[in-house]
Amino acid sequence: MTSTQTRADPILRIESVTKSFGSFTAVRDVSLEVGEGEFVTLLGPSGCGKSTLLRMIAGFEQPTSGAIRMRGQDISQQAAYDREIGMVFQNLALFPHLNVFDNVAFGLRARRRTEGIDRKVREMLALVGLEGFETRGTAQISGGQRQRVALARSLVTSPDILLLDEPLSALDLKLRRQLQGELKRIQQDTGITFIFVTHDQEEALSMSDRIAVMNAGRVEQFGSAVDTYHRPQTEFVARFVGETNLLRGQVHAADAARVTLRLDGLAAPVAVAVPLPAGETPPGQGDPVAISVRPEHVELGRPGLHTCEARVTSHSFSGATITYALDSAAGPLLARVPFQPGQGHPLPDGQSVSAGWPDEAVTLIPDQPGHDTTDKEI
Amino acid sequence: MPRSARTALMLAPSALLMAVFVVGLVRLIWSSVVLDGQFDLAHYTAIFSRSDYVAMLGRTLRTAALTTLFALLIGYPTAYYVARYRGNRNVLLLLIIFPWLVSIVVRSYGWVVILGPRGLINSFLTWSGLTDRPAPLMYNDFSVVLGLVHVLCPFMIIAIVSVLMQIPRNLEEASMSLGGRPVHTFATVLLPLSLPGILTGTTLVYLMATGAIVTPLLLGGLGDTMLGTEIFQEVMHFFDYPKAAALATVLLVTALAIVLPIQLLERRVTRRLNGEGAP
Repeated sequence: MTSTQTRADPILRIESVTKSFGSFTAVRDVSLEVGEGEFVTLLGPSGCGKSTLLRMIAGFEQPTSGAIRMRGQDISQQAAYDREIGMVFQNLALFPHLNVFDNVAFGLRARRRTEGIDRKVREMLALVGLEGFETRGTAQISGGQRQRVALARSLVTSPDILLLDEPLSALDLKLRRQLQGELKRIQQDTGITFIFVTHDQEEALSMSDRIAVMNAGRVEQFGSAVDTYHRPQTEFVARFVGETNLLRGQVHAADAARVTLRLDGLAAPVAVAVPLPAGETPPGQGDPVAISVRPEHVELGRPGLHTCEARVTSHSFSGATITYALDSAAGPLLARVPFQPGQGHPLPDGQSVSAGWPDEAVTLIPDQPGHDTTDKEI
Repeated sequence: MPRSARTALMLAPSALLMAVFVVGLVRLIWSSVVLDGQFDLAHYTAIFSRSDYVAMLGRTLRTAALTTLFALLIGYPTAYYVARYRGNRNVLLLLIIFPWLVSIVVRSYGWVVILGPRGLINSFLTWSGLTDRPAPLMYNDFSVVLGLVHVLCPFMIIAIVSVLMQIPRNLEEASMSLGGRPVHTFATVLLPLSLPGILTGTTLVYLMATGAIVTPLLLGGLGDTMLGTEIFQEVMHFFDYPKAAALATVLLVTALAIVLPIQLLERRVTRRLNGEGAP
C-alpha cells in the first residue's frame, strides 16, 4: 500500500477504519485521505468492502473501530441526515410516488431550504439535461434519464461530498460511456468531491483523479490512475487493473537505481533491468520477486529487444490491435501489437518469435510473504 | 376441449358461489322491505324510531372505528419491524398468524380470565389492597375494543407487511442522505408508499369489527350490544328474520359508506405510487 498523498487539504480522512459484521470483517484497517474537489474511485471485485466503506462514509453503517473525519471533525457517530454528504445509489432509489421535480426538490425540502426552490431545481435539471421533464413520473422516463434525476437529486443540496455506488452498472455500454463523460464534466463544473465505487477498471481509469484498489477489505494501492496501471504495487492490483504478464524470479543484483533479475524457467539466466522508483529501498540479492509487463509493451521480433524465445499458441484480432497468446520458457505470455495490413500479421500458430520489452515497461512487485492477495478471506 | 369451454368449466365453482351469494343478498334485502307481501319500510322505521337501536348503531360504528385505529397504531410499528427484520422473517409471520390456530371464542374468553371480576388483574389489585372491590374492566366498550384489536390486529399487520416488503430499504436511506430526519422520512416516503397497505388493513379490520359477534357477546355488557350480536340474537333467539334482515342491511349500507370511498382512494393512490407521475 502506498502512503497516501493529498493534493489539497483533506476534506475526508479515513483513519484505520475496520467494519465487522459478526465474525465477518468487511473492511480491515483502511486509511485514506481525499482532497477537496477530487474524483476518487474505490475499485475492487464484488465483496471487497468498497460498498461497505462507502456506506460508512454516508452514515448508514458505523465503523467497528477507527474514525472518519470530515474537515478534521469526527463524524463516525453522526447520523446520515446530519452529514453534508450526498449519495447516488446503485438502484438509484428514486421516490416512485414523486415526479421528477419533487424527487429533485426532496433534499431542499428535507433541509428546509425552500427559498428559490423552483429556480434551484430547474437549474439542476438543466445541468443534467432534463429541462421539460419536471412533471414526468419516474416510470415514464428512460434508464439514462432516471440516472440523471438521481444525480440532480443528490447534487441540488450542494453536498460537500457526493458518493456514487456503481450508479452506471445497469446501463448498456454506449450509454455508460456517455454518462461517464457527463459525470466527469459535472464533477469539474461543480467542484464537488466525488467518491465513486465501481468494479469496472476501465471506468475507474477513465474518470478518476485517484484510485483506491480494494481487495478482501483492504486498500492495496491508492494513487493516480496512471500509477495504478503502470506502477502496480501488488500482484492483485497488477492482475485486477488491466491485463498483465506476471513473471517470477530472483534478484540477481540491485542498487539504488536499478534491479537485475533472473527469471524462473529460463535455461540461460536472462537479466531483466528494472528501474527502481526513487526513494525505494532495493531488494536484497536472491530475494524472490515478481514483475508485471503489460501485453501492449511486449514486442515481437524487434532487433535488440530480446528477452526470450516464444511460440505463438493463438491470436485474437480486435481491429486496431492483435493479441497473441505465447508460450515461453518463462511461462505463458500475452503480447498486444498494433495491427497494420501488409506487415506479416497475424502470425500463424506455432511460429517461433523473439519476445522482449523495454526496461521502463517493467514494474517490480515485491513478494509479500504473509499477505494473502486472493479472495479467500471473504 | 375448446378454450372457451375450459375457461367456463374452471370458473364454474366460483360462479356458483357468487350466484348463491347474490341470491342470498337480494333475498335478505327483499325480506327487509316486505311486510305481508307488500313493499313496506316498516322494519326500518321501527329500527330508527327506537333510540336504543340508533345508539347501538352508533356504538357499533364507534367501536369499529376505535378498533381500526388501535389496530393501525399497534400494527404499523409491528409490521415495520417484521418487514425490516434481517433474520428469518417467516418465524415472525408465523408468530403473528399463530393465534388463528385457536378458535375466536377461546381467544376472546382468554380476556375474561385476565379482565374478569375474579381475573388476573383484579385478583392482584384486591390482593395488594390497591382496590377494595374489583375494577370494572369487563363488560364495557373498553374490553370489547381490546378484544377486537387482539383478534383483528393480525389482518392489519399482514396487510401492511406485504406492502412494506415491496418498498426498497434504499428509499429510506436516500431520504436520510438528502437530510430527511426519521419523522420527515416516515411522513414523506414510508407513509405515502405504504398507504395501500394501510387502506387494505383498515378496510379489513373495520369490516370485521362492524360485523363482530362473538367478541362483543363475551366481553361486552348486556346493556350495550353491538349490531352484529343483536342480529345474531334476533335470528337465533327471537326468530325475527325480517328485523334481522333490516338490521343487516343497515349494517351493510353503513359499512359500504365507509369502505367504498377507501377503495376508490386506494385505487388512485396505487396508480400514483407506480411512478406514473403526478402534477
